[in-house]
Amino acid sequence: MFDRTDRYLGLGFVLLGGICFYSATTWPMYFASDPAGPGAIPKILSVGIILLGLILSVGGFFQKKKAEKPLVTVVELRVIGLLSAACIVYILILPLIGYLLATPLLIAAILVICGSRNVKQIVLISLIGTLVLFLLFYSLLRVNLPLGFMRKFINSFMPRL
Amino acid sequence: MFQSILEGVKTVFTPQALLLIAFGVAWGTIGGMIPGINATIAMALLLPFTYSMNHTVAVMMLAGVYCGGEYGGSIPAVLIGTPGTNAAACTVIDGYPLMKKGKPGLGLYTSLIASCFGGLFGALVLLFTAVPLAKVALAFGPAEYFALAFLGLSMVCSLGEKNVFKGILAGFIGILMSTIGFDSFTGAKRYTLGLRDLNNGISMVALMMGLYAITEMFEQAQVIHTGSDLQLTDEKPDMSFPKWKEIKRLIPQLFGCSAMGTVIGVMPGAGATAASFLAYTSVKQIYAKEGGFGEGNTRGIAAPESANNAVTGGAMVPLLALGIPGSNSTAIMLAAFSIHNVHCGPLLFQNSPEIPYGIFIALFVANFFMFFVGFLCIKAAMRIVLIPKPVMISIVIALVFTGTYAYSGEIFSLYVALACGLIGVIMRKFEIPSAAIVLGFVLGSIMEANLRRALIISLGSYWKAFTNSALSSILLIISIASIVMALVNNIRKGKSLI
Repeated sequence: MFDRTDRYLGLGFVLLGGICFYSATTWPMYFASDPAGPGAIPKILSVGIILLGLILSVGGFFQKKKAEKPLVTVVELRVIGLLSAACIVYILILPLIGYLLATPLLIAAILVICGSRNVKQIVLISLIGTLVLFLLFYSLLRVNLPLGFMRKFINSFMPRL
Repeated sequence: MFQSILEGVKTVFTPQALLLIAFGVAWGTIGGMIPGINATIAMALLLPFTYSMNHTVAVMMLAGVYCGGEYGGSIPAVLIGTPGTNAAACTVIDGYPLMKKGKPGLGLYTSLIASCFGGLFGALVLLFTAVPLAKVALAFGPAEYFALAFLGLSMVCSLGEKNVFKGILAGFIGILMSTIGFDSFTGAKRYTLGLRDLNNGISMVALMMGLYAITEMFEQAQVIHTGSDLQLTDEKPDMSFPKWKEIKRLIPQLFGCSAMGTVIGVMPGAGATAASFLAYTSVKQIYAKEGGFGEGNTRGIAAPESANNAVTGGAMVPLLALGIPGSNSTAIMLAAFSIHNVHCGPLLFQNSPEIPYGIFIALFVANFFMFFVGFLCIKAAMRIVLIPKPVMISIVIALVFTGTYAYSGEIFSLYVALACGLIGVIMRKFEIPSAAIVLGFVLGSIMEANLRRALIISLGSYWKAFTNSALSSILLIISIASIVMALVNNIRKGKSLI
């Protein structure tokens, strides 16, 4: 039922519950007509999280059996880190350079992280993938995607259904 | 009544109406398949075209979009582990593992059959009980809504497979996440971390996309490098239609889940997402001995899909009989009625019975169309299975970000989706069920708002708020009994494992 790692997970939840409870105590009661106030449910939940975190932690502490495999390997951490970095860079540059330039870069970066090495294939997939998504969302569904500095150009040349 | 039904049949069975219903179903299904575009958005996109249409035909077409939209979300849920709509989030739990096992056909066709069954059931029930059902909706006050949401939340216990405490914890975190942003009663800012973008809370689409799609794609990317046994099968996928024996075993639950979906649909504000999660957790508890949930049990696909499509019928009740739109999708339909100066309410059934009964018959017809449209969409979508994994991962992540942005129109929601994705990765490592977070998030806001309303009515007395009505008391007793049973069972199971 419990794993050894649950002792740390439980402590994490105790900490989280404590922070949430403290925050909830700082919200003022605005109206006497609202007896519960904005903090009632968050406080109840925070106490619940602290109690459940303690149960997990104690349960994990008494678990003697070691896990068969590590929680996370270095390779896995590297993949998660690289993918997260690619996504963060994409979100940062999206409003600046626009969807049509940022998205092929994201697709290409993920393809490389996932092991693709064929440059021609990477370029083709990135461009075709972006174009299909763009036509679907921008032209067909009329979504105002962030276009960055290309806004004027695309608005005048790109048809919308 | 039969005269009214005949009037409805006459309105529907015209070439123009049938064509527009079929178009609506196809449009809705395609919209539902695209992450970030739900039935409401698909309907809103068609709303301007309804100006020149007959009012009944316009709403029939929108009803077709509604049905198609609720179903369409299940296709990407099964194929790429990304729910096309919020209501399809639950379908991922058992649908995507089937795809990983190389049986996408079984998952996709089960979802199609269940969706059509749920939709037809809801439409049939409506045809004969719309007005009495509207009275049921009125019988639900804040205390009853709170008790119902609490009952739903008590089901989180069954979502914590190995450790019930982790399921409850995840449920609590989900509710806590639903409190982020402005408090709707007092305007107090809660857990916004000083970020203006969090004032309106977390977008449900960003949460679902993160927890399901991004988490799964990150997991698949890890698998490419580590070569562990989690990856999609490399064998030729089985795309065949399920055998009659497989469908037959689902029939009893299809009736139950469809009935549940119809009743939940009747209640304003509850919605298809809540219905699908409640149906899933109920079926999981009922068929607990059978096992295999979360690993590709078709019962886990049929339950949410039948319930969320049955909601489409139920949601018409408060709209047509009371003039109350219970969801965003029915609000669009109300807008279509308003454009044509038609007023919904009890008098509509007396003065213009061809409108409500026409819509009920249209729902019936739409679900038949849905079977054929769904069949074609499945045939086309199954090609996704053949796409190499790195290509699929990159395109899905790009699609998820585009869909999330399309829904909210804010760059910040992309950070939320990514953060939720990373939380999902951590949760998987610690075997915490992400479905419990989603269930908490969906039901949390309903629960809190109604608890506070009930407390205002009872002048601050918790006891009176919970026990003033027999219905809410019964629901609360069932909830507490369900939690205690789940805890006892899990502790016993845990001991036997040791």
